[in-house]
Amino acid sequence: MRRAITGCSLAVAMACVVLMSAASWAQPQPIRIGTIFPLSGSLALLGETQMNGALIAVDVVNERGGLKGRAVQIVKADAPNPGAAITEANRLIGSEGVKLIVGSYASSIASAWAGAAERAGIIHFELGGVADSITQRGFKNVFRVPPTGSSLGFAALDYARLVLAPALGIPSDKLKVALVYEDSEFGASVAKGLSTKAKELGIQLLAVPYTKDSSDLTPVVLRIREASSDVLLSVQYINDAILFWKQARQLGLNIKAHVGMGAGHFEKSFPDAVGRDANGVFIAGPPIELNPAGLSETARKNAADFYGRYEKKHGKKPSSIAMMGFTGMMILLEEVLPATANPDDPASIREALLRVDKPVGFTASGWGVKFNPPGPNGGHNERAFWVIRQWQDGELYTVYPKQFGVRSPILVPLPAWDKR
Amino acid sequence: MTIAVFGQLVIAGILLGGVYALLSVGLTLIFGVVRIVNFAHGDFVMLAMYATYFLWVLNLDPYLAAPLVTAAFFLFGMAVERLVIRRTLTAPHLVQVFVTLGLSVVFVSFAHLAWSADFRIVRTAYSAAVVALGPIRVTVVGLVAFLVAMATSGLLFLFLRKTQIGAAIRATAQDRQTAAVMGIEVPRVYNLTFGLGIACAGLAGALLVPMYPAFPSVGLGYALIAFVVVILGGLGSFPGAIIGGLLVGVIEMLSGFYLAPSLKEAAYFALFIGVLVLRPAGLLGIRGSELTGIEP
Repeated sequence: MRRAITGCSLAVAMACVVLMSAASWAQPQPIRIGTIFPLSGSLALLGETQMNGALIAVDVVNERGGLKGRAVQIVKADAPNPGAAITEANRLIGSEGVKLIVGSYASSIASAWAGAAERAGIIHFELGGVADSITQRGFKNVFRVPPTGSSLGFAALDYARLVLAPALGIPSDKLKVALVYEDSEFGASVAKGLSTKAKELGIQLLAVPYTKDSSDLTPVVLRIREASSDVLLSVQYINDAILFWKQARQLGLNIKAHVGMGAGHFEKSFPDAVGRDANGVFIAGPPIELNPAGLSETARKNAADFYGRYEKKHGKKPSSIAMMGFTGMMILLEEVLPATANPDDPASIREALLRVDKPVGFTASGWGVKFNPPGPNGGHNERAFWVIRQWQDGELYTVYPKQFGVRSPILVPLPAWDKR
Repeated sequence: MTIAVFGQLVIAGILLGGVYALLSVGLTLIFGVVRIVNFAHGDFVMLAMYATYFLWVLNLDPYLAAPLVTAAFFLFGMAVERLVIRRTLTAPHLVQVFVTLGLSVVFVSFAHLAWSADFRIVRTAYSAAVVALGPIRVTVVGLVAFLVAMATSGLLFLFLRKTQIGAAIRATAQDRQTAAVMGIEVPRVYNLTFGLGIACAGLAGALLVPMYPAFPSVGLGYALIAFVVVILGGLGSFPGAIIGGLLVGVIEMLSGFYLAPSLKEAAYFALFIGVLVLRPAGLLGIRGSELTGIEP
């Protein structure tokens, strides 16, 4: 009797297994995409944010039925540092067998595994790393959606000379610009590009570097004050941005306009620490919360979808870093892969990537999409750009380019400290 | 305009230097008497900054919290001496070095774990207040820090010179065996002195936090400065620590402006090396004091 029961149960179990595998056989294989982001370590906060943005795009596309009926499946990897990035890339390519990997928020991480992907013939689709060098190594499989780091400086400088200078009544050849920057890789690379550009344009630029963890910036503030600069451009992290602006008030550095380019001025912690003194400060950075009037119909819908879903899933509004993840992933899932003959073949994906041609305004970030063909800067998206936003009433509002602006700039020039 | 800027830098340097002096006085006292190089000195400052910050979060003004923090750190210093340092007094020098280095690592890691790497900033009604003396702007918090630091250093100096306990401390510094023979309880003197040294670090932290942000690794910078000051001024020399502190503050400001902000530290280290080459015992020190001790 016992043997009969055991035998029956075994038969039932086997039948279930056969049925289940038959069932999954009936469903088409999912499209597997690897992700490499820093999810632990010092870059984790923003790495995770960007990945979360990308995952919203995956949710949206899967809910709409996936790619030609195939669900998008993400294979995650954590790369807290460049060494781990290479190891994880090799693991995703070797053991997991993915043919397409997206990443990575941080340029240092992205640069590290780009080589591994290129060598293995796998597509590296970069959502957030902005260092110019990522697309300047002659790789054929690396594609990058956001604008370059060097162009961040140009965006700020252009805003200063084309918009702020006239608003201040200063001819651009008489405009005195000061650039204060923290001297690690990010700050130094932006500064280098800016100094060269300023020289080309004949604009007087005073560059003042300092070390990020200094606890006193008196000499830095005084140097800028004594040079009587009109406009200040800065590349600062959170803590030094706060310290600098506080000491600017203390020492009476009255600057007419301040455009920040670093993470320090993007976050709520800036107005939280300096209060009303944050108002009027501009930032040059990735787009978010653009005026829908400047976006295409698809973009408007996607943007609204993104803000709603992100806030619902994570309990807070998405940052521009998350928007970069979303935009890039949507381009991949809505414009590239559907147009790919064989989404499991990197050569086919590459071919589709090079064919994409969408105008500015097409994506939720306002960016267009056109990847450079192989050659100098091959794989870079020429139609991405930075926007100018401004702190007003303790919140950031997009002000430039005009078609994407949500509000007009205020406090140009900034009132002197003793008048605030 | 340039004279005004020079003046501004010198004044800012002196004000900051006053706090450096206070912090270095603690270090030199510990070195001169207990003969221990306290590598964790800057991290005691960091802990005091956090303590003052958290008391501020609980609505206690930093200047009112300062005496509390100082007293607490006096006790903290005595506890550390009793529990940790005392056991190393007869051990080889290397052990002593590693013990204080170890304390430093523990403090910084603890701060990082407990409070994250974010900067903590104290904002009071008078945080941004500035007193203008002509074209020179002096922050109220900077001025208060300087005055309190100088007053405390002065009081400590008088304490060492004019009181019985002070005499006992100086005697132990000069010759601990003879002091023991004369009936001075050397372990108690060590305990008290270490406590006093850490109390100075604690007060320095409480005075610094209305001006500068607190973060876990802020201690390293202050420790480095304290060492430069102490050796510049002469190991174990109290007046040397004060003059050294003021000098380093002024040099930091001047070099940051006239050379480059990123060369601030290089400038005072260059001075430090220069002084040691010309006067190895420091400005006011006496040669050999690191072996035999000196009147604090």
